[in-house]
Formats: sequence, structure tokens, C-alpha cells
Amino acid sequence: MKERSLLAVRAPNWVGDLVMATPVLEAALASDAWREARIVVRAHLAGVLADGPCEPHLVPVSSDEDEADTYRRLRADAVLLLTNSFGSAWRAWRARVPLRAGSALSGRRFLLTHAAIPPTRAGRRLPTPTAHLQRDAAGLVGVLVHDLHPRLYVRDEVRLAQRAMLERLGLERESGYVLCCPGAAFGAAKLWPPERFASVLDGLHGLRGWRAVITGGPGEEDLVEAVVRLCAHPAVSLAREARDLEGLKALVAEARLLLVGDSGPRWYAAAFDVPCVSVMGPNDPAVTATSLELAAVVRVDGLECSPCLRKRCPLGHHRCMRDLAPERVLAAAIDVLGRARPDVPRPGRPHARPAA
Amino acid sequence: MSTLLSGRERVLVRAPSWLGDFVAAEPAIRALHEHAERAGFGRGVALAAPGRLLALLDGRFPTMQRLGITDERHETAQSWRERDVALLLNGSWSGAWRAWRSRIPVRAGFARGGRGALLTHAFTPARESGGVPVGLGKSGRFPRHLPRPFGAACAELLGWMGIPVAERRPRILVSARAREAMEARLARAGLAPGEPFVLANAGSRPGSAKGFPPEGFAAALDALARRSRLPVVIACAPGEEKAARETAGLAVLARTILLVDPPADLGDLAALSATAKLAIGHDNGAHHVAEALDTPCVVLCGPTDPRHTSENPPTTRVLRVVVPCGPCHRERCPLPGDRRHACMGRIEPARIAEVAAELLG
Repeated sequence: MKERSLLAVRAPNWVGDLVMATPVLEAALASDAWREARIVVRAHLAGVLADGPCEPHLVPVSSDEDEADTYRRLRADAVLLLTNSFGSAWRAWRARVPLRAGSALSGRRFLLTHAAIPPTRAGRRLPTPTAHLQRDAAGLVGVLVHDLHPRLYVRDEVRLAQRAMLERLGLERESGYVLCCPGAAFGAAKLWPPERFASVLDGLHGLRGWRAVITGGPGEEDLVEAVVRLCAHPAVSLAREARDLEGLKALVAEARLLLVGDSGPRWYAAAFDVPCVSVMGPNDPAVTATSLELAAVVRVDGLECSPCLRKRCPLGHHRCMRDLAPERVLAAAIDVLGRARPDVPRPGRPHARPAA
Repeated sequence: MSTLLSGRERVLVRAPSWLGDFVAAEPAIRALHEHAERAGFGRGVALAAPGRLLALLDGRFPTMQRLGITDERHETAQSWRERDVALLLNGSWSGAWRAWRSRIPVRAGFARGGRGALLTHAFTPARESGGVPVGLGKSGRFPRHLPRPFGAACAELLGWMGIPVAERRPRILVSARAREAMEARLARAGLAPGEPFVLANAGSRPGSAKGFPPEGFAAALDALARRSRLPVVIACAPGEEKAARETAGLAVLARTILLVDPPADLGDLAALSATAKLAIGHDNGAHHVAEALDTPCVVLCGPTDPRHTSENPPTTRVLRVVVPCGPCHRERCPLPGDRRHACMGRIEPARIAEVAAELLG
């Protein structure tokens, strides 16, 4: 069909949302509705999409101004906004892209030529899985997404380099490990106390003999070191090592389990079919209720203030995290480790299997 | 939204009456039942649906109560009484009315068809606004509900009631007895025991806009016969025998086995789908059954919005063409001349055979 020319897909700015969007990105590249598709992504996130079918089509942008210029330079006929911000719609409008499609969120509906309006109750938006919203928006530009399971790819060289780093830090080649990402770029409200992470990691070490490998994003070095210090077994710290989003893919893909807060690496685990336990505080579980086959989301039920979706606890007690006992998280980990891996063949899975 | 269902409530689930939607809702029904089982109250869940559809769940969810409906016009409110929650996965007004009359205190469902006032938890479905979506000939009518996969909408609804649907793929189980009965019937019709075959769900109601023309279907099967030596079992539902017979009569090269006397019931369809190497058919419930049994499918999509069927396994291929009059969602095509039934008539039989051969490998 190839009836239209160039579709620019504006990829999300949050790591988790970006990984969730990978089925949409691949569907856009394969779509018959467009002669060509390009993926406009923040430069620091390009590593997430490296090594896979999206990589040759990436257009990294470094600033808001750069984004609008990119649309003009590409002469985009349409932009599919997988972001939810007003600013991204504003920049597409300013660049005079003729067709602007996305979810009608953040008061930006009037800037869009094609809008998907999420489900509501009594006029208020209902918490809807982000992956569903992304698929709804894609349908407006003729991109049909059949499977919402995220896909990531990682080169053998990256995997070998990460494994060599772990060996240098004292982790034996064939031994399994639990990867832990205790940080959260979103804000302090999503942080679970380091001593509880350490307690769960010690529990897993006692049960399975797997040492913990603890890592984090830029600025999370102290938190990583704190968890390592609090572990009773010799956990491996990556706080002083070079870390990036591409290397993290290899670390997750080879882990036996990922223990994480409510943050982006959770979706890495989903993409690689690695069992995952996510500790959730102020967020609404309905927003992330996709790809749960090998994931357990542990949270405190019944709190009147939750989910507040705030970056800092407005009441100061932080009970959504403080009341969450490590025993529950450990039990969830044991449960998720007992589940069978999904039997659906998926793109990217051959890269994803942990080494035998 | 805080958790609404603890698992200890007496929940009545009204499942959809359409076969495809019923199958798509199976993961949500399963998640609800598992939630209740974990709370030790699996018997508190009752599932109301047409009896013929409930047969697809035979042997599963042993503690779940079944309320088979034989005639929806005479569906009694009596059996709905003394429930705490009505979860309405179907979209009918009468279901909401019945839940209200039965004095069920919590009535949850999508607010469509003017039934929002009858529900205590009325969820307005997603909508769309703006220009005609790319790849369609025209947009829907006001209010423009956004066409979405039914299974995804059910999962969202369960999520809003506090129950995550972790496993999203519908599953159907076929009993060994049903398989053996079907194998015996196929053997009587001339298929060797264990011989692989392609299933062609070629039936359609007379004049239905969703039906692919028999001459086109036969041409596709003949084109496939040039690429694959597999025999083709042609099946249909009751009332669809005419199109199935015509397809079998018009196919020249394909080795066809016609199963229309009697036509397949749902048990037969499931047993056939479970053993077929590939299923070719229209955008109807039969392909949902085949997908739930992990059978590769070629789906011929005509007057319906493709976004409704966009959630499917990687072994399903949907074929459609863009026409200026579609998607119309009409039962019968109202247009005359060349434009009549163009959404189906312009799908090339050779393309169907090509895609089918790819899936057969």
C-alpha cells in the first residue's frame, strides 16, 4: 500500500515506557501504511534500542529545540507521539507536521489532528496500561500492534564484556546471580529502604546460592553501596564501574532474577523473559498491568492515600513503602521463580536466553 | 483506585454472547476465578453466558458456578439474586437492567448503549477524535468509541476492580473424547488417521458482509493446493452450510472434505481447530477458537475495523484491503454495482494462498 511518505515516531522519555513501546516501534517500521518510519528518541536513551531492528532508524535528539528541527529536517508527514507530554505535541505543532497523533493527555488534545481519549469514570481518567495507550495511538496512524510484549536485543560483545566485568569483580563464570536495581529516577517516593533490599537478597542467597549484583543509574552510587554494605553475603557492587543502558540489557538478560523498585529495568526483565519482582509504592498497578507473566508486583494494599503518584510522600509517613515487609517480597520472588517461562516465540528471545 | 474485590464476594460475571468475545474474555474470567480461589472462595464466582459457549469451558474452573442462558429474552433475574457484585463483560443494556433489578449492590461494566445510569461502576470506554485514522476509509460514528481488542478491554476492567490479568492469551482445552470423536468422523469422511489437514471455515450466513465469496474461497484453496498437498476440511456453523457447500463444489484442485452434515458445533470446531495445521476463515469467532488452541490462522477481514482484531498471536495473519466505505460494521453490504462487497471481493485469492503457504512453512 505504502500510500504515505514519512512517519516520525516520538519515543517516550522514560526508560520503562520506551521499552514498553518497542512493539509499537517495530510495528511502525514494518507497517504497510508508511513508506518510511523514523524513531525520534532522546540521545541518552538510544542505547536501549541498540542492536535491534530499530537501531538503523533512530534519530537521536538532544533538546526540545532539536526535536522540532528534526521534524522539519525529516519533512515528516506525520508524527506518532508515544509521549504523554504537552511539550512534545507543541513541538510537533510548531514544526507544522500535518498529521499529529497521540493520546489526549496533558491538555494537548487541541494540538493533535488524531487523538485517542483514554477510558474515564465520572469524567476522570482511569488508570490504563501505558502499553494499551501506546497501541491505541498507533492505530490512529494505521500501525497495528499484535503483541504488546516488549522486545530488546543485545550484541554478544556487550554480553561478553559485562560477564568479564562480573568475573573481574569476583563472580564465577557459571554462577547465577540476582540483579538488583534499588534506585528510581522518578523520585524518593518510589524508594524502598536499602536494608530491606539487602534482606531479600540475603534470603535468595541462602535459598539458591545466588549472589547479588547491585547496580543503579547515574547519581545512585551511594544507594548501591548502601545495599551492598547491608548484605550479609558478599554482594557485588557496580557503583564504581562504567554503567549504561545498553550494558544493563546484558546484565538483566543473564540474571536469574531481577529485584527492582517500580522503575525502568522491570521492563528489561519482561523483554528478556527474566523473572522479576517489582516493589511498588505510590504508583497505580493498573498503569503497568501488562507483560506480567514472569513479574510479581508487590505493594501494600488498602492504604487510603495510595496510589498518590507523587514524587515525595505528601504525608511524610511513606507507609506505601515502609509497611512493605521483606518477607512478602521474598515470597513473591520464590513464587515467580516457580512459574514456567511463556512458550510463545518472540523476536529477540534468542539473544535473551541466559548462557547455559 | 483501591482494590475493590477481595475475592470473598459473590460475583456474577456476565460473559459476552458472541463466540469471539467470549474466547477473548477467557483470561479475565480465569484471573477472577484464580483471585477468588486464592481467597478460598472460588465457589463465589458464577458465570452467566449462553449455554453453548459455556461448553467451551467444560472440565475447567470446577468450583465456578455456571448459569447457562438458553434464550436471552427470557433470561430470568431469579438466578442473579443474592450476589454482591455483577461484572458485566458484555455490552448489552439488558444485562445491566437485570443486575439492577436483581438488586446487586455493585454493578460494574462499560457504559455503552445508554446503560451507564444502571451501573454503580460505569467505565466510559476509550474514544477517538479528529481525522479519519490512516488505513481506514472512514471514521466511526459519534460517539466514536475507539476500536480496541476485546481481551484488552476486559483486562482493563478487571484491573480497575483490583484484579490484574497476568496471562493474556486465551486458552481452550479440548478433551481427549472430543478429539477422538472428531478423528472418527474425519476418518469416515475419507481422511487417514493422523493425516495433517488445513481447516477452511468457509461458511457464512447468506448475504453476510463478513463472508468471503465462495468462488474466491475456492480459488484460494486451489491456489494453495499448488503449493501444499494437504487436504482441506471445509467446515461451517449451523445456518452457514450453503456457502461451505458452494466452496467445496467450486474447488477443483484442492482435495476437500466437506463437514456440513451435520454442521460443526462448538465442540467440533474446537476439536477440528486443535488438530488442524492451519485455519483459514473469516473475521468471526472461529479464528479466536483456533488461536486459543495455538493453531496458525489466516483471517479474512472485511467490513470490520482491524483494530478490533489487532491483538493476536504471531502465527495469525489478517488480510484486508482499504476501501472508502469501510469499516462499516454492517451485516449486509448496502452498496450496488462494483462497490458491492468490495472490502472482501478485492482480497486476492492468490495472496491468501501465499500467506497460508508461508504459515505452513
